[in-house]
Amino acid sequence: MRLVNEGRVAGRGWLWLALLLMVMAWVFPPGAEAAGLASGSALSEAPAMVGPGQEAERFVAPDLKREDYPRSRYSSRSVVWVLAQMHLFFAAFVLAVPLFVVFIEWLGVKSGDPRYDDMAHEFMKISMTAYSITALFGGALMLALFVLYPQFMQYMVRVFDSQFLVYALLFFIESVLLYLYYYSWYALRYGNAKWVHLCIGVGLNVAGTSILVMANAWSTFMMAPSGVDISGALTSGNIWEVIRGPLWNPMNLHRFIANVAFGGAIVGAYAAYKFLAARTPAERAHYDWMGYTSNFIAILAFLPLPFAGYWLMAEIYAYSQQMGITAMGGILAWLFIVQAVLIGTILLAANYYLWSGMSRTGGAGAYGWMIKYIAAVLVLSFLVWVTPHSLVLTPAEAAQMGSSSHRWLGPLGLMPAKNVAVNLMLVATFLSFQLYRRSGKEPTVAYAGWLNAVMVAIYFWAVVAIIFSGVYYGYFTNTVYKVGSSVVQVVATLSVILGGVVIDSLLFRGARVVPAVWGQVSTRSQYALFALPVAFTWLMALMGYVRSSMRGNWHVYSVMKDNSADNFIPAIGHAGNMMTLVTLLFLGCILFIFFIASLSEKRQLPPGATVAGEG
Amino acid sequence: MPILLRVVIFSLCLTLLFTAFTNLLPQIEGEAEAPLAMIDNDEAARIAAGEQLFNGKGSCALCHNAMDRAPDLMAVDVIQLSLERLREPGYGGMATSAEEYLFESMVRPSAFVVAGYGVKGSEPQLSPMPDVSEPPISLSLEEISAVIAFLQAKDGYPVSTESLADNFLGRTAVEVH
Repeated sequence: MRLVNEGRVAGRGWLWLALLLMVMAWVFPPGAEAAGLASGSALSEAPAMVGPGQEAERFVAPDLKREDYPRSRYSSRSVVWVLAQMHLFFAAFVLAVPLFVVFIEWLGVKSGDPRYDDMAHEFMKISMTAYSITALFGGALMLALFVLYPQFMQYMVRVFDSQFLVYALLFFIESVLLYLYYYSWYALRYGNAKWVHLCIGVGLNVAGTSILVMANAWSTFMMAPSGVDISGALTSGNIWEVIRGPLWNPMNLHRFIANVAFGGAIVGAYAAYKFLAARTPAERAHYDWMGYTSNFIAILAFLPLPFAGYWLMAEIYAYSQQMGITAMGGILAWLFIVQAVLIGTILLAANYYLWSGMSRTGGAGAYGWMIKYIAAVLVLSFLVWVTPHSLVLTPAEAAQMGSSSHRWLGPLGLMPAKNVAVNLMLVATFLSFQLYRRSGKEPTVAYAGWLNAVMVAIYFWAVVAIIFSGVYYGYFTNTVYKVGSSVVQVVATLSVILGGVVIDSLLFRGARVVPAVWGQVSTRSQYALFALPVAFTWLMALMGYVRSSMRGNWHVYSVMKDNSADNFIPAIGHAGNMMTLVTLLFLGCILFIFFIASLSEKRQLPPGATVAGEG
Repeated sequence: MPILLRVVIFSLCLTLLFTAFTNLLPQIEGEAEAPLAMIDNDEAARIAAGEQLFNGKGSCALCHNAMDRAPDLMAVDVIQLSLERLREPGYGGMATSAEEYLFESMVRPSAFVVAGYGVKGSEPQLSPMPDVSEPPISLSLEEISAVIAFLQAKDGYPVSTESLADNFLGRTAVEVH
């Protein structure tokens, strides 16, 4: 029964996303004048604002010298790096949790199962403390930016003008809705009042997502400025032209999906922590179910993430080959090997958790033999993914091999092979997920055999297409066309996922449900749930660093040069140490939040009172 | 052992594993843009400045390397190759010599796109190479000349002494920003 509902989560999550995007499109219609934003701008060059004999005010990006930057005892970049990353971690978390909480709450209404409602409320409880911390880091970041990079901030404020005020207004609205949503939970729990509560939740998510896309405009403006000329002057007074740069939408999609995956992983860790600390079977069952749901959310959001990342990277290449190559073929290329290790960790942990979860049902035996093959595919794909194109060699070794890249293994370091690896890992993860679902059901439809045959054929076709296109484009085309493998591989992977969802929905009509014993799962599997947020957090720090470093020594790419003492890309080791620092800081804060959340459940007995049952 | 402690140790070990991995990889640091010495008429100084620009501010080595994204200029005789390009029937640019061809390729890269190196799907074929005189690269005329001097010298050709500004730019409508 529960598995059927979880299937609905997967299917209707996309409707939810589509609805949110439609609302966003309504809030920010393409080509809108955003008159309210631009008309008050002192930067506007509209003739109406210019009096007789006056020249329109026209500002340009400042050309800074090293001595123009404030002197700081500590590295300005490191200070901003830590604060920005901490703010982003918490912002991602608090924006993501209400997205799936509203959905789970709605699921509770539809199914009539009060456990969904309780779980949704518990998820919100965790994010409430995080919300305050997000604001604290946001304020600290803004302060640091104005103190350490005043000219840059002055330029950004002049470019974005009153958009910053709209951002502040949205933040205010979000705060009101968040507190209203959380504290009215039990006051608006049943009947029509519940729908009012859900509407507040939807409003909260609209405000939160709007904040996300507004802040994304600043990041993407720094990478691919639009609405300004090469001197940094506005080409028109229309703020919309500044906001909708070429990377804005890819970044919006990528961050939206990544935030959901990240949020799912964090609440999964909370559930695992509570599971390990549980004293009764009922508690273990509750937190096992909560952990499973969190893992489901994290992995469901994670599966399309590589495709969103691919779109973002393709747009970066289209905007500036130089920037794209700096990231994927230049000094930052090694970081994508680190990315492979992190994503490998995430997928291995998620798969291990699913395999362990099969012990909850008695139907796992029929599929147990496949696990070792899935594990082999994951490990082999992981090894391909971490293979670099060029090796660090001694001159003698290079002379022996003929070049810095191996004739046969060298192409494993290029995009087609990496695409083979990531797509096979995604297909294998989906297979694990499918097997887990099947372990809890026995099909009763007459055409079950045919449906299974079609599913096997889809897997076969997808794997052949993924490998063939990877080999063809990897070994038999030149560099410019190697990216061509992606389309075939993405289509193949999506075919498996979509085909699997459709076939399973047909296969399990009227299926016998094998009862799942929640809480009957190994302790080790809970550590897989801890591995997910650790790897996700580190991955977010890594990819944020890569995205930011692509600009090289520019504050605003090609418009405002960075001439500060930190205008160079640090070595990978230093960057790795910084990422570890922010990851540990964040995880420390998260543990504090878990502690606070648990503390709120405890009540001290009045003096002289005894616990029920004692005495 | 308390659960909290176990969780902390597990998370710490995993985090440190990732950190150790990044510290095992080649430690390459991106150089800040080094101030370029004044480019004067001294030939050796121009060639040295050109090499510095080729690997640094000019970003040439980013694509012109052994990865086959663009011709590996360090592995070919650039002057000989330029002369061959000029003789190709499809050449529609305005250069008349190897150094003018190199100059034109840098400031008007789409003037002639070699087969296989254009932006996929572009018609007429566009070069993915940026105009090096524009941001973010922003090489000056003197800096572009220094890069050409370096490319000439690396294969043993005499370095041009004539001004590109007087010849090519004076003869064509090409502008350098």
